[in-house]
Amino acid sequence: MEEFLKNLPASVSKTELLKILQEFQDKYGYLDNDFIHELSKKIGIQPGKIYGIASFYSQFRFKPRGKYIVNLCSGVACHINSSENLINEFTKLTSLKDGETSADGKITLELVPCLGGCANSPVVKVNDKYYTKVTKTDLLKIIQGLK
Amino acid sequence: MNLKDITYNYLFKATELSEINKFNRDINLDIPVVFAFRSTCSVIAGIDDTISYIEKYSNENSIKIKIVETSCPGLCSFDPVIGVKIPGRTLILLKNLYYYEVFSVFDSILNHFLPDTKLILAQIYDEKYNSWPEVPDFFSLKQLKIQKRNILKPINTYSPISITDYFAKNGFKAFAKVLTKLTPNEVCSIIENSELKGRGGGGFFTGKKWRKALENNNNPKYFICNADESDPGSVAGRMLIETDPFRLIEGMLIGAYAINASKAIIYVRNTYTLAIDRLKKAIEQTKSAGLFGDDIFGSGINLNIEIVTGPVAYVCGEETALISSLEGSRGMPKPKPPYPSDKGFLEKPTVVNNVETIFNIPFIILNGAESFKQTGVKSSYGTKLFTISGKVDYPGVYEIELGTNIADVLTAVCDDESLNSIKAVHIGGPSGGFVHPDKFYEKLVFNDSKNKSNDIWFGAGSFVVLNKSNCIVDVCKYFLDFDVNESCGKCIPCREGTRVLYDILKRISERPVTTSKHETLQRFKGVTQLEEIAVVMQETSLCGLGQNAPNSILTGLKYFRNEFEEHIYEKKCDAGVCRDLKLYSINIENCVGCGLCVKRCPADAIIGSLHSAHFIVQERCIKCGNCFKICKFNAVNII
Ligand SMILES: Cc1cc2nc3c(=O)[nH]c(=O)nc-3n(C[C@H](O)[C@H](O)[C@H](O)COP(=O)(O)O)c2cc1C
Ligand code: SF4
Ligand code: SF4
Ligand code: SF4
Ligand code: FES
Repeated sequence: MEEFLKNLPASVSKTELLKILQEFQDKYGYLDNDFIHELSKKIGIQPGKIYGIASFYSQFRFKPRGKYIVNLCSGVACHINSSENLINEFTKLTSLKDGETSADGKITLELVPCLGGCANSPVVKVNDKYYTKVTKTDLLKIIQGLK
Repeated sequence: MNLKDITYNYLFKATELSEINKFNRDINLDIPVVFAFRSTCSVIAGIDDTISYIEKYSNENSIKIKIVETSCPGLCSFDPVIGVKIPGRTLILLKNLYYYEVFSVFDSILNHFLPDTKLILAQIYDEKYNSWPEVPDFFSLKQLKIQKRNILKPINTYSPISITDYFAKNGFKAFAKVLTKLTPNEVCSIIENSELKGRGGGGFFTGKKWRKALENNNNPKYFICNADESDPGSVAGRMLIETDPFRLIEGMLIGAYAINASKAIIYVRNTYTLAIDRLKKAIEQTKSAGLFGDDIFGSGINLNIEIVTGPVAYVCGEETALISSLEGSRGMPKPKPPYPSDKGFLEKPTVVNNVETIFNIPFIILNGAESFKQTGVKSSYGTKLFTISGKVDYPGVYEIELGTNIADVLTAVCDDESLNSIKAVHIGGPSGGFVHPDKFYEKLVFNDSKNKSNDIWFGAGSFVVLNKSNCIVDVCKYFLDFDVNESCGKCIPCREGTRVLYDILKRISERPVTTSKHETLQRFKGVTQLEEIAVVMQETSLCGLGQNAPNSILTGLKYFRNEFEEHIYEKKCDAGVCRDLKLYSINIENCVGCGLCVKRCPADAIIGSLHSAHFIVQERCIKCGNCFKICKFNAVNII
């Protein structure tokens, strides 16, 4: 993290804020408290304010995320094709709700708007891999495969 | 010659680009050429595996095959689509070509045999080559015939990330024309004359917007492309960028020139990884070609393009919110006026245009306003992209001439069976509404909401088809839930209104706690309240999110009132979606106490001892219906 901060230019304008947060999250997975505090000193915006801005956007996370990020699509085409049932099933199987990470740090559930595969909905994405026309049975298999 | 010189000669010296015309070059190769139509939708469908199997096939059989990566034709149900061109024969398009089909398909095709018919989509006729017997012409497919592909090419045999391929399609000729022959004033006039309207939902005249920004001399000025595309159910912008990133850049260069902006910014949602990747490559090449930067080809014009990835919030699609987000704040809308064209990014004059709007610009500049107005109908010229999904056989992104009626579109995207079971179409995403089959003869045109007789508002072009397995109340609830989550909370009518509307819908889609008349009355009162709240929200919300959030409910009530009433009075959801309306109970007369249902109940909601009547604990029941399905004695009732 220190290195990340060191690599930032001496003075940063507010228009760069979101970009910096994105870069940090890309690298470390989430925005941790220390970082927000250090950044605050650097760009002269209160930590609470940075947090307020970041939390407005769904991209930013404030807790470590699991090894596998499971995205269940909650877009409209998937909804029409019963994605709600999959979401309930997932919660039943793992007791995870949207945004939660399993105790062993393996799985994080994140509901997302349209993943872009509406023709083959419902769509599930695990890290970079997509699964299409997913049924409850498929979902169970997917979860079992997350070792 | 370096890229800059090539570009200069091609644009300003009208040099022949024989070396550039890639399509012809590829297609005349004496080895098989494979076109991989790769976009996000086909990646999801598995095209990357297909491509690697084709490479594997080529290696294992020591057959040279050239693979050209292009972009998807937008017919998602056929993904992955692969085109194969063997010497002497027409280009054949294969559909649903998953990796495990690759070896057998290539064994056939490379030996001039057709593969399994279920994998054949069409061929592109060309009299120079022998056609494949009994394979339909691509342009004769009903999914193509309904379309008027002006800004999307029907089939892309060019690489989306090669500037020379773009040159071969007359790329950057419009920008060159602007740079050498037209003043900003003239460019604005051409766009004004074309009567081009914004494709991002607002439908505002693009030319007017540009003119206002041009006339304001508070420099520097900004030209922004809105590629946030946050409407659920719409992926048209992503598709356009993945298909032809250079066209977006060209349109933006023209727009920036027209208003004397020195900087153009593309705000694209950061989940669009492939689109961003292609856009970045395209920007880089455009820069190396000398088409932007300082003093572009000696014209004295300085212009820069930058790409910004938005960290995703629906309301950031609204232009003033988008500007706040670019400024590093929370993306909340601001009251208008002042309009961005007066006071936008960093308080400077700014034009914000949608991706699809910008895609129309190069054509209009090259061919003139009148030519653009040949397509479409009065006050709705040109085409519009619709993202068609839901209960159809051929979902995808369709470019439809404005003025086409909904019924014709549906016929093209459905086969008979699904066509006959359509209950409604939901058009326009969270701001849009339902269209009843009685209105399917209506034309798709820009609609200023004052025109009450036609309440179809297509917004950004999401087009979701529903059949009897979908519940209107549930779809309303879905969109309201979306609005509740996405309302930025700045104004009370929207923040509270969306929540109240959602609660009312939730109440009628759940079983009442008591069966008293009072409870039913309350549920009914909810519906009349819906209408009152809707009016307040429409009139007093700050931005389009709040103003349009009640539209689904209002059109739902107008055309499908019976469904709402059924939910309220009969506690019935015909589609079977609103499960919470149901009550499962065991009839002690019929129950023999076999215990089968106990084993199948996922919620441990059924109690009872063997051979005596069983009982469902309502508080635990999750309405899965297993007990109803499994009981052999008809002892489980649904009330
Ligand atoms: C809640 C809300 C979301 C919007 N989302 C988008 C969007 O995702 N993309 C877009 O181009 N316009 C969106 N708009 C419309 C923009 O405010 C603006 O009108 C548009 O970008 C202008 O470009 P155009 O004239 O080329 O359509 C949205 C508006 C509202 C109120
Ligand atoms: S209408 Fe809703 S989304 Fe728009 S500014 Fe008001 S609270 Fe925010
Ligand atoms: S399956 Fe039917 S008969 Fe058997 S215990 Fe359940 S309700 Fe009674
Ligand atoms: S509907 Fe499902 S949860 Fe409810 S009692 Fe029957 S089996 Fe159990
Ligand atoms: S709605 Fe799920 S992929 Fe589009």
